Parts: sequence; structure tokens; C-alpha cells
Amino acid sequence: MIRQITIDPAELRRRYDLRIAGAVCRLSTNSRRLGETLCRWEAAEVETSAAAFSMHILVAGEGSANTAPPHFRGMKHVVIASFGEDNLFVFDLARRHVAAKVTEAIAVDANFWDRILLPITMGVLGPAVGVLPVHAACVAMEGEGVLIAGASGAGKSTLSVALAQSGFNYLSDDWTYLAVERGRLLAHGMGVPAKLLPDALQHFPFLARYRVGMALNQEPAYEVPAQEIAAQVESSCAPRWFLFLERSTKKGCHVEPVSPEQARSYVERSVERLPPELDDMRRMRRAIIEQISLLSCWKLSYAGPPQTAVAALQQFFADQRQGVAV
Amino acid sequence: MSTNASGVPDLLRRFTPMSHCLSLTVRGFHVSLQTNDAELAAAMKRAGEAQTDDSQRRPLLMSLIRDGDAPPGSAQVTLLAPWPLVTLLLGTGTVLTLDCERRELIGFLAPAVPAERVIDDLLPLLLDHVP
Repeated sequence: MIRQITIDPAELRRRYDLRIAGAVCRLSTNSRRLGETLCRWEAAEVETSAAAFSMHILVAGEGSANTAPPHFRGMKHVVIASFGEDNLFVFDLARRHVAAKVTEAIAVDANFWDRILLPITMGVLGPAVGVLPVHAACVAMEGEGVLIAGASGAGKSTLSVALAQSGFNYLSDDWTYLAVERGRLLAHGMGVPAKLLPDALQHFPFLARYRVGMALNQEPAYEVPAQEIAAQVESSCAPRWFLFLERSTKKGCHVEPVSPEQARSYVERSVERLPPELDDMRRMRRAIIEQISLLSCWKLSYAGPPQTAVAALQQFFADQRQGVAV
Repeated sequence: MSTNASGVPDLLRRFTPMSHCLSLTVRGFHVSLQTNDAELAAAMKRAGEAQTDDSQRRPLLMSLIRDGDAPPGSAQVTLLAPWPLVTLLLGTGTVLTLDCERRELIGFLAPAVPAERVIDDLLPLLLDHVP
């Protein structure tokens, strides 16, 4: 049986301007309910010069409320993501465009868009619109951002949540989206819940209020809404520091400088490789990485509870602001 | 799972090596095929005609990957056609996308989909859209 679905832009009469991780998305759809689901992403105002991509989403068929596991593949300038047989997204990096067909059930599922699809969209399409997804947490204090990078399991989420609990504003615990806007490096969060492994309960008693669930990567974890972690959740900030977090068995907290070359090399090695067809995007990405390497870069290692690192970092940032040499 | 030189997993299978390359005419189209699947390459060779002098014609570039990790799915075929991309989904594991403007076809084939089915059933559905 063949099911043919034609997406005719003339039939997608509802238009919305969204702002996602700093990039403007021009959404066209046939569904008022999808527009309502995405209202929290609506851009207050859109400059004509803003980086933009377009999204055409046809909503048809009722479908199941349970999202099927995602399946991703990509080659050259095309990436395809399906969530079961009824929800299909085609990302065209060359034309900065996403075409999709989703069910009514998915269209009204804010959880799907906020936590799954829009972060995926920026992960896939980011390079095409000047946004670099970086595997780093981000917190901010008095407008100055701190990026916390590290391998999976290094403790980015734990440290960023501990910092947020100590008065830092919270952006993200795992992925942060970086862009150069008006010559300035900006970090954007997507407001997704923080993911903490079950053993984090020993550091954060408030987790007892939550249940351990199954995260997207099929790991058991607490998923805590960003608003419940910090007094203030920010959507963007200007990063000043870049910390490379490493697990340590050495007692105490240790901070040592990292050269711009080391920082550049780390980020280049940790971001997704792009195919040769996307050479322009690779150039744009290099420009963002160059800006990252100009931040104040440090290696951070600590042993013991995250509060150990928080106390040391509070002193470290205070000294840095006052120009005290470390 | 393949891993790129930087150590970041190639989750999309973008960099799967395709060692079988051939040029032939399939259903009237001058096709330049690259694939990692020897069986598919052989079946295409049987189904196609040897390439004549087509230097004036722009070939259709076909890159097809036999995807050992693709999930099995149903027999449902979905064709999503927002110009200029046409995407065919068979179950959930087999996906082919034709870029009509660029004359490029990329695809990932689930293990259970025979080469003959790709050639006889799936590719014609997409080639119908080539202008």
C-alpha cells in the first residue's frame, strides 16, 4: 500500500515566527493547534536580517499519543527523522528548510516539541543557520556565562545543577547552542529538563520529590524541569568562561588554565563532523569555535560532592572579576 | 556504529564508505550509483543497460547504503513530496530521498528489503518525480 502525502505550501496558511536558540524559524502549517502548542517559542519581534530557516508542517491523521522511538539517517545535505511511520521530518541543510508530516496527537504534544523535536532541529540544522550545538552545560552570574564541557559522565549536569542551586542562573545541563550575533558570542539554552542519574539523590535531596524515569537515551534518570532547579532560568547569555570538567580522585577542587589552542582543538573534536558538501557551514562553524577559544578557558577537576566545586568556583569567579591571578 | 576521526559517533551514518561504483542507464535515466552493498550493485547492473555515450546528459547521482542497524518495519510505503525533495519511507528503516533540483538520490535500506524490490518497486516511485 502506498500513501502519498503532498505538502502544498499554499495549503499551509497559518504562519508563525519562532525564535529557537537565537535563530528565527518561519513556520507554516495547516494546524491552529500546532501554532498554540508552539506559542512559547514565538518571536516577539523579528529583524529582517535575522538568521532564518523555514519549516513546513502538515498535520494530518489522528495518530497515537505515544511517540514512537526516533530513527535518524542523513547524507550530504539531507537528514531524515521518523518517529514511527506517521511522523516524518526531512531536514534540508542546503535550503535551510524542514518539511514534515505529523499526526494531530503529535501536534498538540508540547513535550515532544520542547524536549525532542526543537532541540533535534537545532542539532541538525544549527550549522546551516550559524548555530553551533556544543556538548556543554551553561550557567550564568550577573550576565556572564560559564560553559561547562566534558565527556558524557564527567558530571556536567550535576555541577550545573549544584551551581544553579547556589544562586547561578541556569541555561542548560547538557547541550548549549552557540552563535555569533553582532560580533558577540552568545550561548542559548532550550529550557529542557536537567537529567540527573539516580545516584545524584545523595547530593540533591530535593530529587526525592521526583521519580526516576527512562530518559531519551534509555538511561534511568531524574528529569527535572529547568524552572525547579534555579531561581532564574535564562534563555541566553554572553559566555565569559569555558570550563573543561574532568573527574578526579585527587582531593579538593583544582582549576588550571587551558590555552586557546587546546580549547579550539577540544571543541573541534567534540562537534559533529559535516560532509564536504556543507563546506560553507564548516567555515561558519570554525568562526564560532574561534570565538569560543578566546574565552577564559580552564580545566576543572574535583573529587567529592559537587558542593565542593561550587564553593571553590564561587571564589574563583569572584577573584577573576577582581582581576586576582589564580 | 561507525565513528568519525574525531571520536564523535556517526549517528546519521553520513560517512559510511561506499566502495561499489557504477554508471548505467536505469529506466531511461543515466545513473551514477555508489553503494556499500555488492548485491545491490550486481542487481542494478543486471537491471540496467550499459552506459552509452551520455556525456551531454546530467546523471542522476544515487548513493544507497545498506543499513544493518535499520529497524524492521511494516510494508507501509509513505511518499512525502514537498518540492524539490521527495522522500519515501518503507516501514521505518528504509528511507530514500530524491532531490529533484540537484538530481541526487540518497537512501538507506533495511536489511530485509531485497535489492530487486528496491529496483523494481521503490526507485520507480521516486524516478517518476524527476523532471
